[in-house]
Amino acid sequence: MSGRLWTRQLGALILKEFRQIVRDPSSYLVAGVLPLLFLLLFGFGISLDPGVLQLAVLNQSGGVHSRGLETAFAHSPWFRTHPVRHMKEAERLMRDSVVQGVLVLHQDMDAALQRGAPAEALLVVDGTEPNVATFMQSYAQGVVLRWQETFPPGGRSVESALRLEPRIWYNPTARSVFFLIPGAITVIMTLIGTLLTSLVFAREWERGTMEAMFATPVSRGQLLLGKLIPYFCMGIFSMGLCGVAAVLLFDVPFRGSVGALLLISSVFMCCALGQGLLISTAFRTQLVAAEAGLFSGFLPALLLSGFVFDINSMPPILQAITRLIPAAYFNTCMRTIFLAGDVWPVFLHGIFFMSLLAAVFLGLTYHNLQKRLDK
Amino acid sequence: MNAPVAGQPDAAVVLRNLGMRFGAREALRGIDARITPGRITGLVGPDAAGKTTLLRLMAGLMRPTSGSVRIFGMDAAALLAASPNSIGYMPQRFGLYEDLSVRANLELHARLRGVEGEERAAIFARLLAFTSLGPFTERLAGRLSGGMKQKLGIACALLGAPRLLLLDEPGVGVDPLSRRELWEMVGELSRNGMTIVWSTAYLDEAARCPEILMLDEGGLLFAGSPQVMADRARGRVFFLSPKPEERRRVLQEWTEREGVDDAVVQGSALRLVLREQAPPSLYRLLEADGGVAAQPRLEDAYMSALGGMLQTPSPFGGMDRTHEIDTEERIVASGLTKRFGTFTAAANISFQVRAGEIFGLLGPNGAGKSTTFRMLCGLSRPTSGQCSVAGVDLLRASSAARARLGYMAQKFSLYPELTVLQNIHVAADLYGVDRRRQAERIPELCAALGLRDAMRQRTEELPLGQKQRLALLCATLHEPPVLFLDEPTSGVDARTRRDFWKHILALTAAGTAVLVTTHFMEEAEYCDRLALINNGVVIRMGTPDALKEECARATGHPNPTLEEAFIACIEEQRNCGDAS
Amino acid sequence: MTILPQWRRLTTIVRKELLVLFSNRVSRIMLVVPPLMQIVLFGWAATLEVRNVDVAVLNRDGGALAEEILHRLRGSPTFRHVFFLTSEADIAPVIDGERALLALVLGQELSRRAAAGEEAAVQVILDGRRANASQIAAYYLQTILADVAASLPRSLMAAQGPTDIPAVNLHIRCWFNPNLEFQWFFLPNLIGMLSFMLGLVVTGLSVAREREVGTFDQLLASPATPTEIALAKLLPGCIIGLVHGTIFLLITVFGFGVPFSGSVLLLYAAVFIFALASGGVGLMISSIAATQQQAFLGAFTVGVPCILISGAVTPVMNMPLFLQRASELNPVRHFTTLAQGVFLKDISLSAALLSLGKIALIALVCILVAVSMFRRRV
Repeated sequence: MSGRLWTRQLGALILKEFRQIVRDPSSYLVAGVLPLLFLLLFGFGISLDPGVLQLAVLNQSGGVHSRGLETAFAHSPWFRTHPVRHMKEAERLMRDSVVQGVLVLHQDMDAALQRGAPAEALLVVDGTEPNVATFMQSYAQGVVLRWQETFPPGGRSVESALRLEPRIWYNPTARSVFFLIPGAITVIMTLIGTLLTSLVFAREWERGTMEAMFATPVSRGQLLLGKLIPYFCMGIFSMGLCGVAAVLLFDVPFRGSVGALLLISSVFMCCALGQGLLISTAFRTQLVAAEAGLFSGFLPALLLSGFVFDINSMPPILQAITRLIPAAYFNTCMRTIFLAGDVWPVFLHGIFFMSLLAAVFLGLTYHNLQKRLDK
Repeated sequence: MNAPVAGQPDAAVVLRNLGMRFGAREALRGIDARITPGRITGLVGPDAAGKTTLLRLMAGLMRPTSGSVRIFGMDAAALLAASPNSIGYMPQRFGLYEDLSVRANLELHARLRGVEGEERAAIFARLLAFTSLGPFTERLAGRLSGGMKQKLGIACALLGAPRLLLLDEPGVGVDPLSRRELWEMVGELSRNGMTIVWSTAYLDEAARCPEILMLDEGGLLFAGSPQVMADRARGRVFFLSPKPEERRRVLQEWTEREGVDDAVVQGSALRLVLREQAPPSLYRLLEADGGVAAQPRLEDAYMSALGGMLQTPSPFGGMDRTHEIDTEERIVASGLTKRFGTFTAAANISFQVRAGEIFGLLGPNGAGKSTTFRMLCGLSRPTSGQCSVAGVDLLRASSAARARLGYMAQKFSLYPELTVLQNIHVAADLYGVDRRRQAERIPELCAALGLRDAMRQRTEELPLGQKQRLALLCATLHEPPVLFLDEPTSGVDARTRRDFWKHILALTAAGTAVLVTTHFMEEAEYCDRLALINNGVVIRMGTPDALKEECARATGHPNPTLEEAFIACIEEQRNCGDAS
Repeated sequence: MTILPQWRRLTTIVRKELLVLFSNRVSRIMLVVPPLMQIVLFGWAATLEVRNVDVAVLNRDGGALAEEILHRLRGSPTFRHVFFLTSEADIAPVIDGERALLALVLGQELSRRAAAGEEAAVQVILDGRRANASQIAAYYLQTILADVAASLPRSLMAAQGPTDIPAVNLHIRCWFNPNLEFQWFFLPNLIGMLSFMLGLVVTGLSVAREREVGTFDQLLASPATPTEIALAKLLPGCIIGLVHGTIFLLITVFGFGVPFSGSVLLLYAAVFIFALASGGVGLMISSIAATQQQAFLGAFTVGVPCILISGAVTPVMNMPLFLQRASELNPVRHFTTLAQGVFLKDISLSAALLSLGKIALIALVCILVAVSMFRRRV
């Protein structure tokens, strides 16, 4: 077969697929509406920042100093205080998740401070959400320290002999949105890639169009490419949409180059689409294909890609599993390209493994395609 | 369309000791046959005979397990590699992209076949004119009627100007009018030198082909001219003309009589085929009943070749069904109208079906008969009008009314994942058949319907004929006074069809009222009365014979078949429509 | 006959649904294995604790104090590899290339200044791409430094000046989860996330599949009413939800050792009503969707946002106000509140009933909407 005819036939398949995509209202949903909707939800809905913590204050002392400390908490941007009368009341508020902590200022606090003796205070923290609890601890300590600086007038803070000076690169204010949004793009692209393709071959077999295609002179490779290329373009379109939204809506800096982004996303899209196509050729019923897409695509991308949960902190077996998840590589690359810039060692590592996975997925799909017909 | 190539070999396709197996199942075995170039060859046989497998082998979609397929003197695979456009193939259900327009479908196939530029424009113009799809190029393929889809499917297969055209059951689900147009189209192609293989379960279609290949259970039963095949039944085919009121009783008698291969209703007469070894006493009995020798048809010989119809009596026959229903009118439709937006799918449709009567709804694809049918079995609410089933108003007490009807859907809607027995239990419990009755009836019916060995099999693995019987069993287990059949024998071969109607006739003899929609004129012959629906209105209603007589009066055609009558009625209405 | 025909039809369809779900080996496996694998895998993976941290150190000091810090760093379970850099210029490639989460710079004068009682600063560079992990690691580092400082000879402390300033000693105690185990937080939530998706997909796709096969018409033509069909479609999802809920519960309690302080009865009530709600949402999707693909897309479009804004991953209170309001309509959110309350907090009955009531209300509305859609489509 001549090369020209080969490309023409491929062109015809691609055109057909595009025409179908244009006709299908659900493709607009998947390529346009879903990415933006999900990006907004991820951006606003997921945050590892502390936010405003609700704190019940049980002031058993009631003197000038204890009220001063109470006011210090109330004025802190991190806390909203709820004065309570009894420990019982505080406990109930804790159980019902109205507050995340209780500050207990003991009866003898004012007296002790008056005497110049150290006073005791108790902070009870709701541990159900460990991340919040950690923030609560360190911010409460901060508020107490700062309050001590002003008390008594002329006093000075107790300084540690060794001071840690942290400097956060790429994200000086440590806003979680900055590293969550690139991760969210990873999840969204995985979702789109698998969603778009996991049912396409199943549908063609069911409607008998696959057989008609096989009866024409096109080859399996052309059929595969004919599916891959249009959905690839859609995926890249959604990628661009997400990238622009990330920069414009969430002010995430973009420090890398567009070329690198395009390259990395292209390799990743091949992975995600390959995974979806593999599912669509491997399972006969659409219900099963749908579940397989859900459990092999979306949830791992959400939980095992390093998007929220740091991969290095996982047990070694799970770390090994994440090596098989394209989203994990893509996530690293995305964070780097948005926040750090073009760091080629990171990119090349990711691209190498993603290409490997893409080759495996697409190879298996090709193999399945051939097998289907001989059945 | 393309001129015969000089020096063309005397066989377009040569099949030599062809065998194909799928795991343990042998789909084809030892087929030796030749297909003459420039002719239409019919590929006939019952369901699962291996027709589709043979076509796929010829199209190069599969490699045979043994033997060879040589097309125009070359191995099929080699031919496809050298000139892929020499074969055109239309799969079952046409293989069209329903969400693309007619033009987009054609363009796709043209590009895949490497037909470009001016050549493409020319071939498009020719094909669109040829298929009369010209006015519909921008319409989505999914919105076309069955007949038009069929034509588009063929047009797509024709784009590479193939020398060999393979059509897999193009006649299924297409109304008689469209089927005739289709036949004319293909006839023209063959006159221009194209070799065509047309697979079908319908013998009237096969009889029109100059040559046929008849398959059964993977083996070749006959190859040659259908006339030669038909002649095998010569001298054994007879007409009987009993009195109309006795027709069914006589039919049943002859159906169960030893030595009879086939008994079928044909117009006002019965058509009988005797077995080759039928005793002389049977001939004498026939003469006594007033039997007249008839010209043999392909179908007669086919039934004989397959060993005749199943003569086991229907298990539905012995039933005594004294339905406690005070009205004789089992189905009453009055003024049924259904509108979708501004479009009226059915307008003011009224008729009654009495106990023991078979009532047929006929009409072209998209004429409104499905809509009417769906309203009557409670699947769709009429915009206005009344309908009741077995004396219960469907609109007011729909659940109670539905409990009194049996419904058999077009695709034999069974749960493919469940076993035969599980499907039966679901239906029985759904209709509230009590357990003791189930324990009694189910084994009996399964045995009589030949399902006993398949009880634990998954339904999706059953052949079409068994699925059909299972669907019938599920629809009648609660002994409904009214039975709804939606194209019940679509795509099913003559022998299975015969068996099916035997059961239906037994049911009506016991008082069941049957409403049936069909495209198949032989089936319509079984109906006591027919309603012909077109453009959403009933244009004719009456007995099959009355319709034929009317056609004879109107067209001057002496002895029209029901199909001709049907076509005449529809065309007459179309002309009226055009005039106004 | 004592059994009502409606009831019999209902149970028939339910039984049939279950048979269909379990008839096929692949679908049987898909119903059992992935959810189990997920809860184990994700339960295990999900942690906001930080471990296995690699640290790059630029040691310009070389004194005893630096050695002490490094010694403790190596001894800490948080830190995995400690490796050395030779110049400032090495820091950027190490951090950029993600070879270390943080880089510690021990200045030239560190040991001397500390010995002299002067203020000594240790610089640390954190990777902002993993800001959460690196900040937590820095917090551990701070603790180490504080320990080192405390172990410095008393004379040094004295040199710091008078320490007679009265101070408030803040004692911290964590309730419900004293060691702040992340899994205690996440696993109960995972039960909700997984059951919800499962209920959505199982219920959502079953109607669409019947429509495609054509058996749905067969059902509608039977005496079963649309309401019965809708309810019968709902129940298998609930049954599967309950079974999964039980298995998840066992794994959570016995496999991961998450304490269960509340009432089992309350949790079961929650799991059941939540399953009804998930099924209800699924049913609503399937009453609209014509094909399985549409149902599948619908399940995703609804399911993913519901999980994200449920508070199961990160707290609801950190979301913008409009999302907090919107999440009131989200059954997963209320289930998360309940599950955490029941598992860890022994939530008060009134608060539990409030959440339960909200889920029930959502379930009821979804089912009513779905049933009325069903009836309208007929």
